[in-house]
Amino acid sequence: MKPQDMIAFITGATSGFGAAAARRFVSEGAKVIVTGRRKERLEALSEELGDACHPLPLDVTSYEGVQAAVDSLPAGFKDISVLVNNAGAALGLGPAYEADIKNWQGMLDTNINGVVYCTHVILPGMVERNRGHIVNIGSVGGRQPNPGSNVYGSTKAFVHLFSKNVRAECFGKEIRVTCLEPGVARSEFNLVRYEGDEGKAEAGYAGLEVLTSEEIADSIYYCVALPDHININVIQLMPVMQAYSPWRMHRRE
Amino acid sequence: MTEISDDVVFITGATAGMGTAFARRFINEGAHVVATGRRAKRLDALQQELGDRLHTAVVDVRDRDSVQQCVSALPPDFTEISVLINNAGLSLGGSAFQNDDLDDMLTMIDTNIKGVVHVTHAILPGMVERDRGHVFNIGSVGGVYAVPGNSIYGSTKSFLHMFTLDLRAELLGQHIRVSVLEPGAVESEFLEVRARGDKSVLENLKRGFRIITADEFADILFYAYSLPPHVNANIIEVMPTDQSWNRVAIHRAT
Repeated sequence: MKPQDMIAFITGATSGFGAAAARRFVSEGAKVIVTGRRKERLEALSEELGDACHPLPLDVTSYEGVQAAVDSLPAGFKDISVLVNNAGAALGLGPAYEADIKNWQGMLDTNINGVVYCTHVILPGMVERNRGHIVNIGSVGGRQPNPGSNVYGSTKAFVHLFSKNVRAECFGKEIRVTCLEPGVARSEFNLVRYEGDEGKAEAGYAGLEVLTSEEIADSIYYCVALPDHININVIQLMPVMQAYSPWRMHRRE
Repeated sequence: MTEISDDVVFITGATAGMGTAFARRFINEGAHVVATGRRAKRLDALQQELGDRLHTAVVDVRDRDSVQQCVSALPPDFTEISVLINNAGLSLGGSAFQNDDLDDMLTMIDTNIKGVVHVTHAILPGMVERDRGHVFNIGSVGGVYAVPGNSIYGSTKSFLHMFTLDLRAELLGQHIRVSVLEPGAVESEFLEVRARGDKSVLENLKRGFRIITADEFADILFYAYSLPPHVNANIIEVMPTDQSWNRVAIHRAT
C-alpha cells in the first residue's frame, strides 16, 4: 500500500509499539488515528505528529465504545485502510492455580475482545472500499507453551488463528492480514506485568539486547508497505539472545 | 557494525528462480556470493553476469562429499561464509502417496532434507568459530498446512521449520541468526519441475493471479538479513494476497 492511501487506526497508541507505529506511519506520509485510554498521552502524541494524527480516546474492551469512536471520526479519517490491533497486556506472573481471576478477565477483555471488537467495527468498511490491511500483534508466547504464560499465551494463540481465519474469509478481496509475533521487546509491557515496579521491569531486560518499539514499528510498516499482492501471514521476531529452553523433568525423590 | 562488503553469502540452488534472485540481490548490495547448483552452464552465465565478487561451484547437495569439497576449496575471499541460504529444493509427483514414485520421494528427501543437513553441517562450524552468521532455510507454507499431494514435499518443509527453531535453541549465546522463510506461490521453476518440464502449469497459474516474483521474494529475505544484528526473524510466512486457505474437505458417503 502507498503511504498516501494509508489511514492507520492504531490501538494502544499511548505507549510502546503503538506510539512508535504512529510515529513511523506519519513520518512516511500516512495518516493515523491514535487510540488508547490515556487521553493526555494521545493529545501529546497528536501535538507531536500534527494534522496527520487524530487522537481518539478509546477503551477497546467496550464494543459500544469502539463503535461510537469509529462513528465519530472526522472527514479525512473515516476511510480506515490499516488497522493495527496492538492494545494488549500480560497480567500476573504466577501459575494458573494461583492466578487472580481479574487478571485473566482483563487479558481476555483486551487481548481477545479488543481485537474482535475493532475488527468487527472496521473490517466491513475495508471490504466495502476493497482496500485494507490488518496487522495483529501476537506473541511468540502464542506459539509455544511457557510456564507463567497461562492466559496471556492463549490469547495470543487466538490472535494467531484469528488473523489467518479472517484472511481466509477475505479471499478474492484486496484485504491483507498479518500476525506479527515478537519475543522480548522494550515497551511498557514489563511495567504493566510487574504492576508498576520499575526495578523489576528493568531487571527483565538486564544484559539483554531486546527488540525496541521502533523495530517492531519498522516491521509493521514494512508489511503494510509491501506491494498489495504480497501478504505476510506471519512474521515472528525475537532477540538473537532469546531462544528455547530444554524440557523440564520433575523427578520424584 | 559489520558491513555487507564483509559478507560471504553461500547459496544453494542458485541456478534458477529464487536462488538466482538471491545471488543478484546480494551482489548488487556489495556482498561476496558463492553460487552453487548442478547446472554448470547456468553458473557460467551467472558468473558472466555478476562478475568477480561471485564464485560459482558445481555442487549436488545430495552428495556430502561434493558439498565438503566445495566448502574446503573456496578461494581466499570466499572462505569465511557469514550467510547461508539453504534454497535448493524441489517437489516431484504430487498425486497421492500410494500412487507416487518412491524414487521421486527419496529425491525430495535427499535434496530438501539431507541436502540442507550436509550444507549446514559443513558451514555452521565456521560461523560458530567466528561467532557470526545468518542461516536462512527456505521452507514452504506446505510445511505448515496440510494439502493433498504434498505428503512428502510438505513433510520435508516441516523439517526445515523445526530445524530452524531447534538450531536457534542450540545457538543461544552466539551471534548467529537462523530464519525460516515459508512462501506460498513464488515465480520459479518449481511447478515446471513438478510437472516434468511442462511450462504451461506456471502460465496457467499466473492467469489473473498475482504471483510473488523471485525478485520480490529476494527482497523479503534481504529485509530479514538487514534487520539490526540483535533481531532474529524466526519465521516469515508469506503468500500472494490472491492465495489462501480452502475449506476443510469432507467426503460424504453416498
